[in-house]
Amino acid sequence: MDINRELKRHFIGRLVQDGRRIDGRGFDEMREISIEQNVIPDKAEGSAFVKLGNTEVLCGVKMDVGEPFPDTPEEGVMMTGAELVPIASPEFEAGRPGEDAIELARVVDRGIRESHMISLDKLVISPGERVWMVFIDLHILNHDGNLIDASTLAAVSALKSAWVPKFEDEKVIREKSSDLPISKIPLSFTYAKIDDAILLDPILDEEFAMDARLTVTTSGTHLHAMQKGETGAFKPEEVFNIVDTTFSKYKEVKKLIK
Amino acid sequence: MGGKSSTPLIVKGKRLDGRKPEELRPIKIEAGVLNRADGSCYVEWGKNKVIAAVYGPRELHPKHLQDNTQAVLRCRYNMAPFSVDDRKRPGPDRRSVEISKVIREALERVVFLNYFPTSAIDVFMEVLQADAGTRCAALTAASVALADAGVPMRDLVAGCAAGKVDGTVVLDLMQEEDNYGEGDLPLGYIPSKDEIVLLQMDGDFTKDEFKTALNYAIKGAKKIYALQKEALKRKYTTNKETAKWI
Amino acid sequence: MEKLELRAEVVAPGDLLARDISNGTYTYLDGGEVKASVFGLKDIKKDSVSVIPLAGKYMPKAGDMVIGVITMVDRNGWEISINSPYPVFLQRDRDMDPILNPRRLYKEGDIVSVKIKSVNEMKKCYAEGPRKLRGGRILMINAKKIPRVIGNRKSMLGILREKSECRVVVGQNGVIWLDGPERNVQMVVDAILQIERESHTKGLTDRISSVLDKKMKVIKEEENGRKK
Repeated sequence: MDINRELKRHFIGRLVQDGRRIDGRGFDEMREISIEQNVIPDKAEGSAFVKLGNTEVLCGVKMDVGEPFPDTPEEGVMMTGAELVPIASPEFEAGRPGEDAIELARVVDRGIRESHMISLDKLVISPGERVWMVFIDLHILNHDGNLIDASTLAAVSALKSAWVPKFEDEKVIREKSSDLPISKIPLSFTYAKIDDAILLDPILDEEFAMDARLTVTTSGTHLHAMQKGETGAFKPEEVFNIVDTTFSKYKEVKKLIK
Repeated sequence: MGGKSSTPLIVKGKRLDGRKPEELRPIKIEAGVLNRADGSCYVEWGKNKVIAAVYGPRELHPKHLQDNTQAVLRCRYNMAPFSVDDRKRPGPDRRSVEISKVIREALERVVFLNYFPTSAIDVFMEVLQADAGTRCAALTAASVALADAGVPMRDLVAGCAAGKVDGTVVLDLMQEEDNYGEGDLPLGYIPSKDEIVLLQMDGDFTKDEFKTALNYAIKGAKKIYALQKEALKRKYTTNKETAKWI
Repeated sequence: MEKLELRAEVVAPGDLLARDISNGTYTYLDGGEVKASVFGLKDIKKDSVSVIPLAGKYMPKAGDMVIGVITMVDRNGWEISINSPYPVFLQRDRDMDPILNPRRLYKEGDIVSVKIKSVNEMKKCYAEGPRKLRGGRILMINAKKIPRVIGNRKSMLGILREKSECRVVVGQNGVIWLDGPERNVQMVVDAILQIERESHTKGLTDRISSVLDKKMKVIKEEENGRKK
């Protein structure tokens, strides 16, 4: 049992009962967001470094040419991976991605894929044979809670900055031929439930105390992905309220995406 | 959600298999189908065939995996290679790791893990034939198998999904609807407590469509819950020697 | 197979049992409601309601007599596996000769009956009063059906022992040791398995009693025939 975790849990629980958060935020207030694009300018076709409070995520996008999936011959391919590298937290260990990393990558992937952010139909070189593959890789550098939203922001920003290389004589030439075709902007919003309180954008200490977690991804008017986590439960009305908050928060955060 | 279907999936208010939008597929639940397991359950849900087995609480080794305050619940959702159209490579992939995790978290809500410090409770779910909605079927089966094993629980968890097809919100997607539909919303629900313990979503829903879909899934889960309880009770009210899954 | 009558209502986890009454074993309180926490039979008494489980692992309890297998021996004593998530430990006697190899008393694989002396919060269990069980036959059934095998004021166990002329030692953990003529032992095994199968039904003691009478009659007649 982690001592830090236990001590924080009791403290956070008491604060929340008084209607307060450890960093003074309101229950539906995000931490400060900073986004820097093209931080890996020489090797990655797209990249972004996102700070959500103290949580820091680096996302790199690599483009390559490969075969399309048999069931979508006229679409490019996208893949999302996440690594919880050991530098980000004493709890992360080196090695194959564990279930937390897998869940993180899949929830981020779902939001981008289902919102059709990337126009995959414009990434076809020759149908059924050659398409562009978009690899989105998330590197978690500092874990202070809410990795999902920080990672979605990083992935979306990296994709916004990404470009498609040239493909000549069956070879990829790492020179820009065009911008990566982008349509919608998906953003995720994650909520922690502690007792009966629902907190947007939990920090790590709040995650230690949370009973349940819900992530909602929207592109502004439509919902594209959801993921409930942890062992607690939500009431249907709580979910409906979270959906309402998400739509209003989207408008705020969307402005930061360049 | 995959590509577009060339033919409509809903014609005159009827779906490909003749169901109305708010109708479940035929469902059969059988408790206690495996001899060696401490508890087991077979669920047939449309063309889905899922079997769940529970072992434990049992001793957990190595010792560093033990939790001195409660049992460790371990869940494994696995698809048989022959359960899908194109053979699936055996063993866990990213999808099944994620599904195992959300199912475990849903079940942890109901199992009295604190009764069994240092031990392990293992829940194995095998998808033998898949036809969309396997995680809900697996969760439904796992929850009955746990009860069948005599594991103390607050209640059963019922799984059920809703989705969106041809712009219409429907209950309980089948394979074609999952492949060509516009959204899927799997739910794990405890009717007696009105609690959502598993919730995922992918696709494209407006706020109103989402509300309808969640309400459909809740209604569906309530029906599944009744079938789960009925299956447990049937085990002792009929005189079958042992239940069979096939 | 004839239709057997249930001796009580079958309930599942989460089923509402009663309101405003004290909650007994295998139940929990949810507001003012008593709900079942396991799959089993509803057992309603004047002032409380509980559930008799139909499945589940044996949980060690101080005072219980259990039968198990020695799985590990070291200089502190013996570890005994008892078909439960928790093994029990039998500590070596303080005045036992420290040079004596503990395996000379009990070694891995030996079957022993012990009384559980204590169980702590983490379910670490200590045992006392070991007895080695030699020969005979071991039967393992669902531990939750043991109360039925023993019966009210040991009525069922009395019938099993008396009618079969066998030695029967019943561990609370679902392990039963039997010794006697082979056919008699087989008869008791069959009877116990029937009790396990039909523990949820009414009139079980009478049914078992008459089955044993019939079988013993056959055994006796054959024995007498052989003597003549």
